[in-house]
Amino acid sequence: MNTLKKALVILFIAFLVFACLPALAEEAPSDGEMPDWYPENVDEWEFTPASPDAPRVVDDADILTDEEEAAISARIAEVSAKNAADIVVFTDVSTHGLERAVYAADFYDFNGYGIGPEHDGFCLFICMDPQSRGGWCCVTGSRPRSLYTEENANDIDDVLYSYLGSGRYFDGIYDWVGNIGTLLEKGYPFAPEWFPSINEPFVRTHDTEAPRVVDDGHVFTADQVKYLEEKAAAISQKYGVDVVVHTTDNTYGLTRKSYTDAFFRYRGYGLGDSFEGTQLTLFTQSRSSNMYSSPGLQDKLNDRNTELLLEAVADPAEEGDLFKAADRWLSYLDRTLKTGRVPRTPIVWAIRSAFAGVISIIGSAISSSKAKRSMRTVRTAYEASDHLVRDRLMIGGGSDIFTHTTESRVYSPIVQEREGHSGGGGGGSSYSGGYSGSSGTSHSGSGRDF
Amino acid sequence: MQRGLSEQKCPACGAPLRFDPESGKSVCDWCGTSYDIPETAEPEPEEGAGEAPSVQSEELCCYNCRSCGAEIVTDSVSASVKCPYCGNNIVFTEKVSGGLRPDGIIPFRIDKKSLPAAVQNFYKDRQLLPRHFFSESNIEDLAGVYVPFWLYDCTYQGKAYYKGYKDRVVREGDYLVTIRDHYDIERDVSMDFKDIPVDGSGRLDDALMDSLEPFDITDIKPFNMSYLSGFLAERFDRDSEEVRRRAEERMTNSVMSIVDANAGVGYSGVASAGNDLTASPITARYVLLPVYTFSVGYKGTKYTFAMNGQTGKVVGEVPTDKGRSFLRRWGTFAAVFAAIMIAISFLSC
Repeated sequence: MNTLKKALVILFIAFLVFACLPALAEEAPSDGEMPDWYPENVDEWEFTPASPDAPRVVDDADILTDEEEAAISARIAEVSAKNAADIVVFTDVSTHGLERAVYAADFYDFNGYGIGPEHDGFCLFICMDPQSRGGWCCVTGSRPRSLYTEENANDIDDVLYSYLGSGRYFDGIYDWVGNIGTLLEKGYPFAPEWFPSINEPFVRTHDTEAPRVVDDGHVFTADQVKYLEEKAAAISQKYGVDVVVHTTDNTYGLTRKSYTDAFFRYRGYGLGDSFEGTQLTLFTQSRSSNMYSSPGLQDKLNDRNTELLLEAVADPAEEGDLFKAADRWLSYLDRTLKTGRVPRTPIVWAIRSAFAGVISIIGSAISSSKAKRSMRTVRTAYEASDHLVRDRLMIGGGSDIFTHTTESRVYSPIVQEREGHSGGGGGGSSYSGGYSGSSGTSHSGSGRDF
Repeated sequence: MQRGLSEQKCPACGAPLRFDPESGKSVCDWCGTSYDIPETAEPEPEEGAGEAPSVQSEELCCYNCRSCGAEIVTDSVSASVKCPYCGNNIVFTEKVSGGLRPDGIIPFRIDKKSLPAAVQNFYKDRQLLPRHFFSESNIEDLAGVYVPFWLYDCTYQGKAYYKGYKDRVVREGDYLVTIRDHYDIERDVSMDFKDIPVDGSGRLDDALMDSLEPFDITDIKPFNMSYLSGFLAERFDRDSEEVRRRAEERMTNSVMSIVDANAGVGYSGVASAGNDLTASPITARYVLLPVYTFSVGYKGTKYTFAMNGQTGKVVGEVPTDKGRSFLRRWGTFAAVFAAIMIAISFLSC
């Protein structure tokens, strides 16, 4: 009987194995189910350059209309021709069991995209798999990869994925192509018009006609601009240095410091052969400020004095009174260039004196009380711990009886530090500085879910 | 031997002997001979030996000096004096015998010649003392006195009760949860206090005597009248029952702070919930401890001082120099203020 039971169990297991094997085989990726462009034998694959006419927008997920595809293709053609780097957009509903990064790289490599010996180019892959919607930008070639830093990748992705997340695929992709173009041309994805191209040598010039008060943030009245211009011009004439006041509501993805330096450098400011000058930039959105000083002014506008000048304008800037901030900066700049010292505001002196006064009173009180205490040598004895026989002291034993438990709660959320940099406040991309596709070609890239 | 009087005479020349604190021996200043003082208890003088005081009342006693025959009038508590006529060192044995005999004595270790150095040390640590407060000319009434002290011993035993808790903090999402386990704690306590000194002299200020502590009680010797020669001595005029309350207060004040500090080990916090500690019968020893007393006259006021004759510690109420006090307060203020302003200016450049 037992033998019969065992035989039935074995037969049942064998049935299950044979019945399930075909189903398991269906789920595993196989060459036969990979897209058409995927080589049958990856090991024997050789790079074959894609035709210039090959489509640069391959919408297998069907998220774009024909008109949209045409518009994106036209923009890609324009940007690609200008910057000698291929740009490809690919959408699909599955990655066929591969990681997004690898799938994007394989699409780029196996279709022969890329310009030049290193196949320079960008491939934006958008995966519309309902279980795993996300994207990956695969970057190929040493020059594009050197520009597509983690910081730039995050800035670009912040914008792209805010579009994709809201279903505006065309707007996101179209804008992304433009940002890649700006990155290739100027080194920053959102660099302003006046930012020079990195593909041509930059020659610094003097623009004597350029306004010295540039109110791009639109916070000054015409009279205020005139007043500040006159004051800046007077200081400029007095000390022989260029003096610029600039307001802006956009740093174009640059840090405030980089933006301020770039504005002075690329807009033709600075006097003389060494382009001497200084600039205050007021950021209207963050109500903060930054300052540039040319190397020749470092004896008077050194790091410490720069810090003090920015401290002096911080209060009115934070209050939103940017005119007062600019006016105070010009006044203090005048004194600093004259004496080498930043004047202190009365309130600073008052705060310092109050601080020193409080500490001094405390110190004086401690010193006096210590001296007075030393005068009191006659004291009645109130305790007898000095007469305790230490080695015969016994405090222990007894009992510790648990009675009850109470709980109290305090709201204290965990503040999680974000790693890396993301300019636009997005979710932060996963970034890879170097990885290989199935063909073994090296890429870098970034991506997110949406 | 005249009853009630003991004179330490040099066996070699018959001149008076005195106790020398530096050598710890009886010395004869006349012939220079010195004699060891036995560390064993001296036999009590025989009852009825010698002569009684010629006149005796409750407050005054009158004796005749055996050396010069002069009449010496003392108060009822003085146990050792120097004859004002011949300088003879006299010990009134009846005030240090029988029930008045001390259980021990700490001999003087500091010679009165050390007073200027001790005073200098005292001066050094009192920055508000008037500059010329101490000078040789205004130090008056210097006397080395064996002061009667009671040394109390007591044991406390029983149980102390506490309410205690132990805290654990765990995170639950965005909340920090403090879980507090409460306990009833019972501790067995046993502690001994030994040799708490309380002076038995009604003439000396209690606080002044308290301030002379600590005395090294391990240095107590069996009583011997030889230690008294050359010094004044007093017998107690407040018995051990009369001043015991002061010792008990000191012990009571210390007991709970000591128990509280030890009972809460291992707990996040404890609060006392009472105790049933009881003190064993308190016991007392009668000893003589060495004290120099002197006074300083300054601007018409007399300030009383005392110096521990064993350790050299000087205590006493002292006046404060208003000028020095003013300078101290505002000088410190000005110095700190200037230093901070300079530092800020330096750091901000």
